[in-house]
Amino acid sequence: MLSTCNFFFSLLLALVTTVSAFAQDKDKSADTLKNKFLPTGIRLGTDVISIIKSRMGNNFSGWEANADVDFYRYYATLDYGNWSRHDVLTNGDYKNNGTYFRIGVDCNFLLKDPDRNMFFIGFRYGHSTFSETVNYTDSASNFGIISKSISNAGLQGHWGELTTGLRVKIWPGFWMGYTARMKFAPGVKGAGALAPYDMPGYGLLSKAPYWGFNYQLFWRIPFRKAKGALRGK
Amino acid sequence: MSKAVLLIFLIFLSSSCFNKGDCLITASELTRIDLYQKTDKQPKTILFSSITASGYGTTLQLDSVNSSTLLIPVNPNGDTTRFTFNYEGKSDFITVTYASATRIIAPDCGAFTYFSNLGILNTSFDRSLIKLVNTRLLRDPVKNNNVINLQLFF
Repeated sequence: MLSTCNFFFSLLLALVTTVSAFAQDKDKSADTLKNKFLPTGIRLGTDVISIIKSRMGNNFSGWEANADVDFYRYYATLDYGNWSRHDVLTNGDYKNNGTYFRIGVDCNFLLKDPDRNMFFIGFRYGHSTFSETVNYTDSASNFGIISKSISNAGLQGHWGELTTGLRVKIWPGFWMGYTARMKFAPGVKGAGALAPYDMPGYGLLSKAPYWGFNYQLFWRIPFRKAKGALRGK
Repeated sequence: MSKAVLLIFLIFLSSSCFNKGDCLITASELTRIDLYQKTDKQPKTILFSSITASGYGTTLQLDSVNSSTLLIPVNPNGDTTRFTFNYEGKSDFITVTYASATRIIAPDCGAFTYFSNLGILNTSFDRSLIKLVNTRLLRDPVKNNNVINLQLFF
């Protein structure tokens, strides 16, 4: 419930930012950039929530690295992560482990911000490779107590995401921000006698759409100096 | 453009926010067989001296069953179970096949085996008097009954 409140607070913040972003877009007079679609730098980052969840809890371990490159108002993004989970069930336990990547594009609505602060909306394609195992006991069976251990190995999964978020420059070369994700259309290939439960990068497969939230730190490595108003160091 | 952004926000806002699954367990290992008169298709109660479910070295026996609805378990350790019916001095059998899959509902609910693809491998009954109604073994947790899998006409 707390995560839901946080999410709606973030949405409210994003909505307020949207209004100012569109107000800014109305001034189309001064786009003097040459070669505006040439990238000016790469931003590398990581997800703080994954790190905190790995340290604080005992049922999740994972990390995520992020990168984006600017092409005028568009940012090509790539995320890569690792995710393993251990859930204690009422009648057993569940474990999974896998890696995932997301690739997509963000559209920045704060184009003329001199600090490369961003409010963005984007799309991602996600892909996951993972394995999972469940051990459980069925004590209600008419044939006595049944213990089972069932695994899925080498599963391949995919999904889509609509994203929105903010990036705010804190120091020169250092940005902080969040990405909220609405994940949808999950699919998994290669499942056996265990219906896939939790897909790294996506989450619970019984939920569609499913929400995700990252709080990220970014460091920017400039390729070249942007002309015009941007000050992207 | 602003309408598109508004639409995206509405999609965000109108979607479900619950993370935990509801503990509505529909898994069942019981095959429901309803008995009918073949003449008027009305439910028929039969006194069975015994009904056995056997497979993979295990046999489960139900004695003195007097009902028009039978709930007979399939063996969760395999994919075939033979039901043997002893009644009115006769003995008949139905061997059923099925597939099983494990589903995790939520950590607070647990993992359960779901049976599906129910089929009749062989039987001593007249095949025209057996009707396969539903291939999934499911329990309705609200009504607390099982879905009808087979109809057997006597």
